[in-house]
Parts: sequence; structure tokens; C-alpha cells
Amino acid sequence: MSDAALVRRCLAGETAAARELVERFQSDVIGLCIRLLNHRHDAEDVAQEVFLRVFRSLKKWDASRPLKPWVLGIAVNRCRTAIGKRAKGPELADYLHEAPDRRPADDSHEMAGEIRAAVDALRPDYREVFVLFHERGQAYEDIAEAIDRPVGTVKTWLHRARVEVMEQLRTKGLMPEGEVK
Amino acid sequence: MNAQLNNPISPECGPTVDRIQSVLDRVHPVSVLSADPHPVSCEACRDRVRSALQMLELFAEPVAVRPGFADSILAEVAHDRRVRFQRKAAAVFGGFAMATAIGLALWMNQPKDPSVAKQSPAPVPQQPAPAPPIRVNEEFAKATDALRESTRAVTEPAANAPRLVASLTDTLLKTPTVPVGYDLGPAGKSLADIPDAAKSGLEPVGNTAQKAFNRLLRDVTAMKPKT
Repeated sequence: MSDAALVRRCLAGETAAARELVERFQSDVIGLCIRLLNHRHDAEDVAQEVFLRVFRSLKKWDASRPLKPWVLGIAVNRCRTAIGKRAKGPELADYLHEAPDRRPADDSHEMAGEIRAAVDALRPDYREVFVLFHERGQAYEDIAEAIDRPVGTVKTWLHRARVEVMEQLRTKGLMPEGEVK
Repeated sequence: MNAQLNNPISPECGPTVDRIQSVLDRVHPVSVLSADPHPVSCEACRDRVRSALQMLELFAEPVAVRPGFADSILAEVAHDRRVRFQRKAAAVFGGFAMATAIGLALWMNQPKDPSVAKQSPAPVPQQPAPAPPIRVNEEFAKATDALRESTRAVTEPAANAPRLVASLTDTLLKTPTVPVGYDLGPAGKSLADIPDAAKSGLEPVGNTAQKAFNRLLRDVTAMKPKT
């Protein structure tokens, strides 16, 4: 079913269409929230709020554009709000205590853990672009629409994010000298 | 960026690095990396390829969604719709109630008697126009005109009175043709005894007196009040 047909059915009040919309995007939304917030519980709360806003604003969606970037754009904004509230909320020590341990269970996953830690250390806007591109598989244009930035800015931020991640891996001794451009 | 400047890539590794970049950008599939022969002989490029593939594999992993997540979302959406509908209904009802109250208040404050409402308001009493300023010249002219008219009314009959008496006495003093058989002896004697003043009637207002009076009126009207 196309995005436009799905939205029409949701606006008509069909429960089955609403369920299909949630199931179609829940993995992307939760994955994005987890990667941006680094906290599973917070990510689910924010994901719930994302879908509330999606259904409230469904009438405003432009049918000429794809639905996924629009939904992920709402998710990015909600995550930014949550990060801002978190900065004013509990002390960092309490938050770190709740944060999941990202160290790999064994050496075979050392690289994966270090990559995750390096991505988590990125600045928020770089991390958004990096996660949307590499984890959510979004195109430059869709990312630009989701975060309301030009495509050139998206490419620049993505490049800088990769450079920082590789630099982190190099400092850990996991990347050779002469990093990827 | 600084790392790139501080750690330049060797010319032999350049093409492999470019392919890795294209795979990360999803321009080319991952299979192009396995087709590149350079990493076989270059340990640095082998590490680069391995890191890139691990990153792609890591981020390609689907995120596990707990069971029932969709149900909780739909329940929350339904609750949110109910709350928003109740708020809208309360706002509409409140607005309707306020409009009704205002309408009732306006209706109750209207006057009961329609005629009262239709009556025109009492006319504002107009103050009398202020009297025109008294002009002395005009007043003297009015007075002289009145006197002139009154003297005519007085003098003309007075002037006519002696002629009237004279006409009457002359007729009687003339020897009338006495009808045969009438004796006018006593009446004629009485008429002859009327004094001359009586015969002349009132003092006559001759032209001289009239002229003097007219002269008086002219002098009066010529008087100009001091301004």
C-alpha cells in the first residue's frame, strides 16, 4: 500500500490502517531514538510521543513527498527536545548509571562496541545525520528534509562524523594511519 | 579533517579508499570491496575495509521492538483523540453558553413598551433668540412716523370741523325759503347769537401750524444718537 493510500485510510479512522502505519515505521523510529538518546527506556517514551504527533499532524502531510522522512523528521525533533530536557534534568552521573554498558562482551565485538561508543560521542547534529544515513538508510535528500537542512550541509556533517568516528577508532588502535576520506 | 591532513593516504591506497567511501555512501554495493585486489597486499587497506564493513553491518542490524509496542501506541493515540475531542466539545459548549448568556442579557435589557422606544426624544427647549440691538435712529424714525400719522388723524377732522359748522350755520343763517305757514323767528335768533368762536369751530390748524409741526418732526429725525 502506498503512503498516500495508507494516510487516507488512517484519516478515515480505520484502526487497521493506523496499526499498519505504526508497524511500518516503529523499527526506524525506535532505532533512531535509541541511537540518538542512548537509552532504551527514554527511546520508547519518545517514540510513543513521536507517533502521537504523527497522527495529530497527519492532515498536514504533503502527499507529494515520501512519508518516512516526514516521520523521521518528527522523531529527530522529539529527540532534540528530550536531549534538551535531559540537559536540564537529573545530574549526568545518574544518567550514566542508567545508561547501558556499551562495552563488547568479547573481543570479537570490540570493534562494534568502539564504533558505537564513537558514534555516541558525536555532537547531536552529526550523530543525527550519521544514524539516519548509516542505520536508517536514508538518502541525503530525505535526511535534509527530515532535519530541515540543505543537502550540502548533510553531506558535510556526514563526512565530519565519519572522520571523527575513524579518529576515535584510531586512538583506540583499531584503525590504521591514513583514515578514510 | 585534521587527521586527514596529518595522515596522508599513499597513492597506492587511494583507489581502495575511494571505493570504501563509495560503498559507505551507498553509491556502490559492498561487493566492489571484495573485488578490489589491493587490500590483499596492503595491511592498512585491509583494516580500512574491515572497519567499514563492520560499521555497515553494525548499523544495518534491525532494532528489536518489544512485543506489544504497536498496541500501546494505538491505545495512547485513541486516548489522546478522546481527550482532544472532550476539550474541543467543552470549548464549543462554553462558547455557545457564553453567546447565549450575552444574547439573553441584551434581550432582557431592551425597553418593554415598543412605543416608548419609538418616541422621539423630547425636544430640547430652545432659548429665545437674543433681542436685536436697539438702534436709536430707527426708533426715532418709527416715533416720528407714528406722530405724523396721528396728527393727520387729529388735524384733518379738526380742520374740517369749522367748515362743517360754517356750512351748517351758513345754511341756517341764510334766509331760507320759509315754507308757507312756518315761523323761523326763534331759531334764526338763536343761530344769530352763536358766538363767532363757536361759528368758527375749533381753532383752525392752518398751513402755518402744520408746517411748524412738520419742521419739528424733521428736526427730531435728524437727531443722531451719540455712538
